[in-house]
Amino acid sequence: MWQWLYKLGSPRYFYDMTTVFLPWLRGVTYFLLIVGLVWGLGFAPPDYQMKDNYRIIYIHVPTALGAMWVYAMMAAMAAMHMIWNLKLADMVAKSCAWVGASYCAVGLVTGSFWGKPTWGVYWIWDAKLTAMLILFFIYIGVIALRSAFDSETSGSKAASVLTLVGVVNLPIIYYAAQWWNTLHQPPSDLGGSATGANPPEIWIPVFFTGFGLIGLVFLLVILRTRNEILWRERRAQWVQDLVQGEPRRA
Amino acid sequence: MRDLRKQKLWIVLSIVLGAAVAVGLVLVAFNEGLNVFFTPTEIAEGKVRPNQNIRIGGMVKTGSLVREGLEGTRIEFLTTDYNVDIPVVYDGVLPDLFREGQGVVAEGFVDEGGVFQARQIMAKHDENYMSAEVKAALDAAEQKKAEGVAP
Amino acid sequence: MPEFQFDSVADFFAMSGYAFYVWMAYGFFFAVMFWNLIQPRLARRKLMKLLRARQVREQNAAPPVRE
Repeated sequence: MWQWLYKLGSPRYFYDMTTVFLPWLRGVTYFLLIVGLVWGLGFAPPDYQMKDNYRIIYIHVPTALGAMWVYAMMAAMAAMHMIWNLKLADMVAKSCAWVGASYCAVGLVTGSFWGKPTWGVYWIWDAKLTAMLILFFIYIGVIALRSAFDSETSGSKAASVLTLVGVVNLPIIYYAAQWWNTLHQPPSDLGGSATGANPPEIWIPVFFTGFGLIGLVFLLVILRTRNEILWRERRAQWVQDLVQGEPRRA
Repeated sequence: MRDLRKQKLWIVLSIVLGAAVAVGLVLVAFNEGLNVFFTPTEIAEGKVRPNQNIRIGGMVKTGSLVREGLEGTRIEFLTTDYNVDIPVVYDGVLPDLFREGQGVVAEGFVDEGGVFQARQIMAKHDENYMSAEVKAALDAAEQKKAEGVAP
Repeated sequence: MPEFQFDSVADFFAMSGYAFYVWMAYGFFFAVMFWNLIQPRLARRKLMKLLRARQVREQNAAPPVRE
């Protein structure tokens, strides 16, 4: 177990492994996303109240949940970096910050364009929306804090600590609508309630876009991490060889 | 080496727990202030002063919505939490989801007569989505049942 | 099997009157995801250029190989 972890923790091993793995991940991700988006936009039945406006759900829910989920992953990486001093974990955490911030922004903006026609306002300072905005600022804070240091190691340490502190925000976002009264509704129950709400024909496309966007998280984090590996290992022989082998572009 | 790791694990845990406790205390302290609206019951209990700017949230009581005026933009309805009803008066643009039997959040103040004078109306959506067809079928079934009980 | 819910292409783009909100949301989504996908590619290209330049510089700076 430990040996495997150390092997996976080697940047070179990670780079080589993802080289093989990437085309598959890319294929599955694009497939899920295309099916989910086409289905959600054109083939899912309109909601009885919001009609076609609710189709924003197919990107809003997965990106908003994804932003929280990426944060959890970033925090796990920060903890691993702090405890075992795993360099690779820190590189993954750095990549997560950007991907998470972008998902968070999409969740906020799509929610806003959904809120205006349904609620009547683009924005309200309720607990759920505010906590989500705070998540976005934490992401920006983690990115900024890391880049504020001249030394890479100091930057990663500071970013790791801030990342761990920010974990508290995750349950707050998820349960905000249950703990306080908010304009935003609580998470939907997909258990097939007796009232006939949230039927499969509405939520199945969410699963496609949801898993597609999780796949995209991995894809984006891996792509960014690979660049980070090349940069940090730039003096290693294998990177030198790789640079020489790379076809030249004009 | 092992000890150093264990020590670092404790540091990580204490950062997370420390932050959780600190934020938890703040949230408990601000608990009521974090609510985005008052319920009709809270207003009836006198938790807000007259003319104080607040939001009220509840359901639009079925059968209580009255449209007034030639243009029909002025409306009156009762907002309820199934315990207390508070009358609301409003003149302006309504969100698409505003209707009887649906959640509503209104911004404004309670006047001396106990009527909520709304400046803005927001519709609160629940977490249930349903296709138009399914909803129509359910409504038809419900109607049939109702007719069957009281012919 | 799910059916296409719109009668025409124009109908699809109209989104039962919510075109502005739906397409703004999806537009932002696609713009951000496009940037997300293009950024690592551009960064990699830039990085390779930089690393290659470094290599060339080091090779030139290095003393001639002694036998």
